[in-house]
This record gives sequence, C-alpha cells and structure tokens, in this order.
Amino acid sequence: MASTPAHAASASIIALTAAQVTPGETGYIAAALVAATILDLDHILYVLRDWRMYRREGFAGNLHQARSIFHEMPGLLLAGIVSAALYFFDPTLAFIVLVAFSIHLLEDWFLGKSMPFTPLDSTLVRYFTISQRQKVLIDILILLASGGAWILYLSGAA
Amino acid sequence: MDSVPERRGVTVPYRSLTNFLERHISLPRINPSLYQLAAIVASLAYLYIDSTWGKASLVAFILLTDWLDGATARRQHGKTREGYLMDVTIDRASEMLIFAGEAGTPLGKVFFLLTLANIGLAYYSIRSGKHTSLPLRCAWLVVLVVGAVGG
Repeated sequence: MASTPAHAASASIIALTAAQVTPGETGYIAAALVAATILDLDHILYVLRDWRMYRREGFAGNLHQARSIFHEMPGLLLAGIVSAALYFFDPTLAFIVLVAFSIHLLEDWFLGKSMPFTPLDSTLVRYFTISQRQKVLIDILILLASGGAWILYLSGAA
Repeated sequence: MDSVPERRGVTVPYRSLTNFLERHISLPRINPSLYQLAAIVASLAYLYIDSTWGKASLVAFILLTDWLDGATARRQHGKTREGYLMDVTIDRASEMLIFAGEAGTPLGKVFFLLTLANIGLAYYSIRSGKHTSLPLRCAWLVVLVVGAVGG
C-alpha cells in the first residue's frame, strides 16, 4: 500500500517545483497534495464494495480492479478540462492541478495494469512486467526520493 | 475489437519513410515501453526548461522515442492492439504535460485545447478503426524552431 503516498508525494513535488511555487505559498501546496491524492479516493468505494474478495485474495496485485474510469484516459481528459477552466482564473493553480494529477496517473499506468480507453475498449495493457515485490520496492524508492525532495523544497534549498 | 486502427492515407508519405528506416536500421531488443518512459521523463523535463532550443531538442527527442517505441514493438511483436493503445495513451499524456507548460501563452492555450480534442480523437480512432490524430508535437517543434531562429 506504498503506492498512494509514493505517487502523491512525487506527483505533488514535481508539480510544485515545475510551477516554481515557493514553500510559503501554502494554498498551492495544498492544491498540489489534493490533486496528487484525489485519484486514489476511488479505491475506497471499490474496496468497500468488494471487501469480501479483498479479504479472501488480499490487496496485493488486485487494486487495479478497484479503479474507476478516472484512473484511465477519461481521468486525464477530465483533469485537462478542469485545468482549462482554471487557466482563466489562476494559471498556476491550473498547471499544478493538471501536472500533479497526470503524474500520479502515469505512475499507476507504468507500474501496474490499466485499461486506458475504458469504457469503449477493455483491452488490458501493461507497460512493464514487474512482480509485486519489485513494484513495492520501486514505490518505496519513489517515496524516499520524493520525501528527500520535499525536505529540500520546504527548507528552501530546491 | 482486436484489430489495430488503420492509418489514414494522408500519412502515407511519412509512413513510407519511417517504414524504410525501420527496415534498414538495427534496433536493440529492449522493452519498447522504455522509450515511452523516456518520452514521459523528457516531457516532465520540458516543464523545467526555459530555453527555446532546449525545448525544441526535448520535443525532437520525444518524437524520436515515439517512433522508436513503435518500430521496436512492430519488430518484436508485429502490430498489436495493446501496443497501439499503449502508444496512443503515452502520446496523449506527453502532449498534456508539454502543453500544460505552454498554456500561459495564447498559442500555447490553443495547443492545450487541441490536446483535449486529440484525446477525443483517440476514442474516435478506436471506435471507427481509423487512426486519427493531430500531430501537435510536430507542429509545436516547428513553432519552437521558428521562434528560436527568429530570436
């Protein structure tokens, strides 16, 4: 279950540094964290719905089944539409929301299985064949690297 | 729904050239997704770069990886629907990142909105069986090079 904190921490710090937001701009930092995390809220609904199955088979390697269409291309499209609207009011916020959301989405795509063009096409795609153990290791490395980047960022060094 | 959407006739000259190159160059036997990962990393790097030539170089690199991933995949597995979907997905995500960084300018806004249209066209391609997309990154490369040359 290291995925959510790892992907949220990395996606948000990339969005904030790319937008050149300073550590004092807490509104943008909060927005980056929300945009980088909100994608995984859909897991909760599906896990609650299929709780018995997850108790029986475990979460490892099965969470791709606990995803809404927003974990696929419709999510990227929605993030783009929301950002397009936000660009009229606050371009920095629009950029942060889009980049943070997109990076989390891309990390999920690269590290797991996805059905990008669901509901139109249910072809399951997998970019890299990695074991659950390797996936957890990669997520831990992402978490450590982004944790370090967050420390540097908040201390004003990044 | 297992077929790969066909390319449109307008792309024949470009495809003829790339097919010729594909037949005559040697490609390493690596997972084509490594090129897609490189394209996304380069798209993220684009967000940190201010230099127009730097941006143009990155877009050229991204276009090269886009071609290499398709060429490598075709050589290893032939044309597959899975490969097509992976390629289109990463292309759209790469465009989204690049034009998110450019949406502060009027022309960048237009390209950003066209990126959204391109996602719609990706769905249309899958539904119609005819691949349709706007070559936004190619067009943007031209914009960058013209801008860089023009000073």
